[in-house]
Order: sequence, then C-alpha cells, then structure tokens
Amino acid sequence: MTFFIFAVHMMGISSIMGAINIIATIFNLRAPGMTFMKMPLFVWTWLITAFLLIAVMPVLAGVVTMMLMDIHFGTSFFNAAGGGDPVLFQHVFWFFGHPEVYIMILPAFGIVSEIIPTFARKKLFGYTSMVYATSSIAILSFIVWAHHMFTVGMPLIGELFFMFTTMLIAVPTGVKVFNWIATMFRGSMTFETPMLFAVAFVVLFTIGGFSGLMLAIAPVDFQYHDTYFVVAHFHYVLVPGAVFSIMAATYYWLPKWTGNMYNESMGKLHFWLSFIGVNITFFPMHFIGLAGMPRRIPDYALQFADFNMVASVGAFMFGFAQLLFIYNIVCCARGGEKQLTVSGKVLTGWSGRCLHRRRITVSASRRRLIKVILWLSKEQLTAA
Amino acid sequence: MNNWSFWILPFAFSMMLMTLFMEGGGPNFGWTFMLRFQPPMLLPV
Repeated sequence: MTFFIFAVHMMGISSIMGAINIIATIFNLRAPGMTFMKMPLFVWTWLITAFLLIAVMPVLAGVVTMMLMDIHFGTSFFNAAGGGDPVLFQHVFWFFGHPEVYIMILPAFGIVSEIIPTFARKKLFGYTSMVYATSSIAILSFIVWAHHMFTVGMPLIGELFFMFTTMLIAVPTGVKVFNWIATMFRGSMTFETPMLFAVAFVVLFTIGGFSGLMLAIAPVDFQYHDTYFVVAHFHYVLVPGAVFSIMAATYYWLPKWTGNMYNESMGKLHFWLSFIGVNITFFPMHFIGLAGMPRRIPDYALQFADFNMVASVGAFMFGFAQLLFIYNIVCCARGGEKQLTVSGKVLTGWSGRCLHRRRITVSASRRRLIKVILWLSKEQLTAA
Repeated sequence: MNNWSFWILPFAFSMMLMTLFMEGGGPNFGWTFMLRFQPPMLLPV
C-alpha cells in the first residue's frame, strides 16, 4: 500500500509536469496566425485535458497522502473508529475520479474530430460549438462526482443536484455526436480503417452514453449500483471510446510516423474482429447486470454462467484480434505496403508523411469504376 | 521538465509492480483503493 501511494505520487507529478508542458506549448508556440479558434480540434481537446489534469492530480495526491497518514502516522481521516469518515474518502476520490474519466475520453473526441472530416471530405461541422461543448464538458465534470455514490446515503437534495448536473452533461455530448454525424452527412465518405474505427466510436460511444444517462437517474441507480450494468456502461464508453480512438489514431497517423503504409485489408479485418468482439463481450453484461449480478465477484450465481461464457468468448476474440494490430504495425514500421495510383501503377516517391494518401489509394473496384467513367467521358467528348 | 515527466514513469510503475514480488503481495483493493479498515491500533503489535 505504501509503495502504491508513493508510486501514485510520482505518477501524479509526472502527469502535472506533462500537462504544464502541453499548456505552455499550446499557449506560446503556436505558428504565426494560428489563433485559438483555428487550432485543430485534437489540440483543443488536449489543451482542455491538460487543464483537467492540473486541476485534479493534486486532489488525488491529497487523498493518497491522507491515506498514508492513516496507515502510518495514526491519523483518522477515513477511519470511523478514530472519528474519521470513510465517505470522505469516496468524495475526495471521486472529485478526482470523475474529471479523470474525461481526461481519458476528451483526447479521443479530438482524434475522432480529426479523422471523420478527412474521410468524409468535408470540414468539421460546427467547429466553434465543438470547442464550447468540450469546454463545458470539462467544467461540468467538476460538479457531478457524487453520482458515483448515490447509494452511500446522501441527503435528497444532494441526490437531486448530482442527478441533474449529470444529465446536463448529455447536452454538450449530444452536440458533439450531432456534429460528427452532420460532418458525415452528404460527405463523400470512404471507409478505410481509421474511419471504420471512428464511425464505430460514434455509434458505440453513444450506446455507452445512453446507459450512462440511465445510471444518472438517482432513484433507479439503487438497482444498477455496483452491478454488471455499470461494468457494461463504462466499458462501452472506454473500450470503443478511448481504445478504438487510439487504434483509429494509430492507423490514421502510422504513415506519418513511419513513412510507410500499413496493410489496409489486415486493418479492416482487425477492425471487424474488434468490433464484433467488443460487442459480444460487453453487451451481455447489460442484461446480467440488470438481472442482479454484482461487480467484482469471483463466484457469481449459476444463472449468470451462460452470459458470462458469451462475454468470455467475445473477450478472447477481441484479445486475439489485437495480435493482428501489432503485426500490422510492426510490418508497417519495417517497410509497409506498396501504394497504387488511380491508374493502378505503383506509386513511387511517396514519403508517407502527408495525408494525401487518401486521395491516391483507391480500391481495385473503385479504380475500375473511375476508369469506366473516364472512358465514358472521353467517348462523349469525342462524339461531341 | 518534459524529460522528467516521462522518465519518472518507469520508476513509478516498477515501484508499484515490485510489490507483486514482496511479502504481502501487490495492491488488492480494486480500482478505487478504498481502505478496508483494520484499524492500526487494533493490530497485534
């Protein structure tokens, strides 16, 4: 425990220094003419994330320090026997913990906001509202912490306050989902691997958001609390949320990092295995949660065995799919794939460091289609 | 500062992970590390 506390202190210091660096860089080292409202959205979300980190890491340091004192120096911050309050731990922990989950998801929002416009070939819909939505999510994240503790015995007014503030967060989040969909609307979309992950992010994150709204309802939380429903909820927002966006970002920027192209078919296979695996794993958890299976239980009741089996199958599928991902990255770093131009020739002299690959790389069927169109238009021109 | 913020991490994580090989084992209190009070004063000295 003491080692754990010291390790958490060090990680906290590391996070704070990293965040200071990000803020200082974004504030002072923008290119001339790069005003705040012109910054890429990924930079915006990182800026806001860094502020959240600076705000909550000291709180975490505080709570682990209080715990250290309780263990070694005879204080009783959290020990009811000595006049302390165990619920205080929960309050301070979740005051850190809730902004922390937004620290995990906000950069994901930024990544998706970069990828969707690229593959829809349109500008991001509602840039300004995206910035304001991200900021308001960050601000709201500080006044919702006790929705993790609806069942500890809060006063009614507290339950109501945290219920309504939590529901309020659905508004800016809804704005963001609307903007992503509006960006795709009537765009000329193609579905390369990064886009597949980004679209799956929007769909599955929204499912996770909806179960979040259900959990926000204080009176029914007494049924949901500490069940697998909660497990299903946070895995839907974090796995297809944060994890899928990291994968999307990896595929999106791999050519930029390595100068080579990854294997597109393998990427797509990885996507579909992950997508199906994630849903098989986490969707049944909603049902067993509502049926009453508690979290963190090694010997659950027999009637939950089948659904847990299904979840395990999905988890293995998801896990093994990641081997493809690693293999693809390694191959890409070591040389990568040949790139074909519209006319089917091998592209030479492409360094991979620009994002124009999306207009150059065309699938075989699309290449045939383009050829037919070009041929037809030439025919028409010569006929006329 | 940039360097510090990165290079602290290996030390922090190795410190956390080395408890796995120590007497008493690694942290075993779940994600939210809530203390389950065996109040220190009641422990046999």
